[in-house]
Amino acid sequence: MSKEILLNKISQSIVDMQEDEVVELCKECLNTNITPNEIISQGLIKGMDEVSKLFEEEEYFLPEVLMCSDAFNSGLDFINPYVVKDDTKKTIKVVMGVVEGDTHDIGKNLVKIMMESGGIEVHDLGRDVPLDKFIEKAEEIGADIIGMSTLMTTTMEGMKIVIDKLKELGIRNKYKIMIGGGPISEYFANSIGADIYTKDASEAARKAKELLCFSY
Amino acid sequence: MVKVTFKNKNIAIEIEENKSLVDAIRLANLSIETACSGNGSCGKCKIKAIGNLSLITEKEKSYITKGTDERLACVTRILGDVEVELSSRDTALKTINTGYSIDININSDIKRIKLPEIKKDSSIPYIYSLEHEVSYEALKKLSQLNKSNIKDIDGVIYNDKIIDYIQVYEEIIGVALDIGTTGISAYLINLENGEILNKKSSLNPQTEYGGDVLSRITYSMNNLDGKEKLKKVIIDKINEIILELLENTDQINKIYRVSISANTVMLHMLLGIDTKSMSIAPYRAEFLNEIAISADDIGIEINKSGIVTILPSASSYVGADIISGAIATGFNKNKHNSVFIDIGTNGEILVVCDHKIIGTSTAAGPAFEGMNITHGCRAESGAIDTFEIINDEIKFTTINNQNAVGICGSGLIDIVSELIKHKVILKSGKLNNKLQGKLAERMIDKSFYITETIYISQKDIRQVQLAKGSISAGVIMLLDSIELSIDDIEEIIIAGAFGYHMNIESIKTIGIIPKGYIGKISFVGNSSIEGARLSLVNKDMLNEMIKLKDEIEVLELSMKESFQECFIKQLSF
Repeated sequence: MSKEILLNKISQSIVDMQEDEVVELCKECLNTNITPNEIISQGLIKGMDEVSKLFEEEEYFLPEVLMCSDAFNSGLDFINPYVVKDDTKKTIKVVMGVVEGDTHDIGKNLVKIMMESGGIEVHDLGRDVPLDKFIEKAEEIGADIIGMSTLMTTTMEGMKIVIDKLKELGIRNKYKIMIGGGPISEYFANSIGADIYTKDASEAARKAKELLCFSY
Repeated sequence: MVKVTFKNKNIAIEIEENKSLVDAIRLANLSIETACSGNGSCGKCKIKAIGNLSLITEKEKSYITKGTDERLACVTRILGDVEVELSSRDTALKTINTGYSIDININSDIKRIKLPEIKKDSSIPYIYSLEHEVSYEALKKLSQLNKSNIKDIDGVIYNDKIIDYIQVYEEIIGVALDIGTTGISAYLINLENGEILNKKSSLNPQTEYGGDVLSRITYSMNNLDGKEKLKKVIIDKINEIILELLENTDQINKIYRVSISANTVMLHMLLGIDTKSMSIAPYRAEFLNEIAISADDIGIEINKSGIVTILPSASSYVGADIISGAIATGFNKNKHNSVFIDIGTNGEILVVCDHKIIGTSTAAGPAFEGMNITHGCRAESGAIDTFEIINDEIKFTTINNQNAVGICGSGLIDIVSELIKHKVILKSGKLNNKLQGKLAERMIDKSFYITETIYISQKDIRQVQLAKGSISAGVIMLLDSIELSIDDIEEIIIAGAFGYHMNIESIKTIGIIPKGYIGKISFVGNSSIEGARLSLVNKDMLNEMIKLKDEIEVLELSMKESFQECFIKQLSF
């Protein structure tokens, strides 16, 4: 089977949620001397890009996305040991979490899946995250983006507090701020001085990459 | 065939002779309540009708007013052409102002007592001849009693203390209230015999300041006078409803008690108490206990010595409404494993098993109330409320038989359920783009058209999936926490206005209750107001609620690690 056909098959198996098939195909790719990096970018990530598109088009819903992501992760877990680390290559680092006072994290988890499957390094702070923690962690790992999410109107203000604190510390421009969640809007994002608002998880992953002119 | 004309409705139908008026009303797609299944024993189907009708039966006579055109629609037969006038109902909100409840004895906290006679020659204060303490208000009125009128006057006691005096022929009245996030229901009740004297329901005026609980809390946080404003509009509305309930305004002084059931947030807002902490993890309420407060203090206009009772809640999101409902239906005493679901904007859930009772709530969202849906609407005139597909043809009804203006909750569930059954919607929730045949013609651009302008979109279906998934996952998680599965459950009780109008098959098909359930499903309507009613007529009921409040073990779903996985699994149809 040609390289292109094999890689396309990996993508398709991810879209079809065929976890075992993805791993088998990855094995086959390695045996035919396709590089691990190619398998990841041309096969696995391309598959998740398609999933993300289907999600945006409302063809796929949460259960399908999670099953696809399981297939993706199985493939990735299999390939990872063979990847030769290239330290000169920059990866996007994102610190994200659900802001203090809110424990609803399904949306945030979905953004995490989409970002990770797009090759972004995500540092997940979880839910009900103390506001200072976002800044602490971002400073610690040298993040590119701080992502904040909330489902509740009552905790939205926390996002502004984080941004104001960054300004106060004189480090606002070190980071791009992404926000999202049920009650969040473009208008709100502008009003608190966030950089990006996205309406769903796949858009979030895409915009994050665009923002930093990134290609895998 | 004979002709039946509906006055004020511009509807006329033809029907076979000797059919009942109820048959005619339903044939015309108009609604009528027949609580006793049409045997003439409840009087609920009273309407006005003239023309060639069967003779008035003895049974009927006890419900209708002599000399008027009133008839009981269920027992009256149509013999020739007739004209019918249905009682005009508030069509702004089709809500259920009735619920199932257990039978209880009358034993109110507020009672009537005989007063001893006034001794003519005694200089000892009359108050010493009373066996009860006397409140300040009642003390001030004491001088109105004299030797000649004392036999026509009774004392009114609350917790063994005399609070007022009334004429022997006057009734002692109470008001039961259920304040929902969207609607308010009220009963006027005779506290001495438990009889419901009148019922009213209305939209909660706070909806203007936020349709759901969270946006309303946000309003009160962001506006300096927010709390006061929310309190004022609801108190004003309650006073307005109370006046509407009464036959004449003098009766207002005969109302000695108002008992209020509601979700915890509504109770806080009613009392003007801050709600912020309830909206931020760990979602702490300012109070959960029952409160007895002077009506005068919070501005509810009843007897000056009247008491307002706020029923107890279990947590910020497991409120007095479901506690009240559980007591009203006797759910907490169930010997068999059972589940109680109160479906509103939040789905509140209780499970009883081996005398243990646990509860939770899930953010079902307002989809089932017709909100968040492209053509969704409240249960108002013209809302599509039932829907079916027969031989690839769609059939639907609208409230009051008006032109379709939108889709309300029950219609939405019917539509989704029928579309699943006919493979228009696949198990994953996706609209089937490989669909063939007549129904496929109604599918345009990821939407299924019901009329030329009203459709249900792929996004709407996703909203339904989220709503039903959260309730179903809530039930499973609760059961899981006491190591039960849905197979161990013998009965599921569905409360709330929503469930009452629902088609049981549709509820099963879309999976609001976990799949695989084969036990009994009962609908109890607005059980919250029934609980408020019972608390008025029997003091033990309030004590039972207080006991239940402490017994309920509350589980906060969003803090459980496994919730996401369970929720996602429950999204499929």
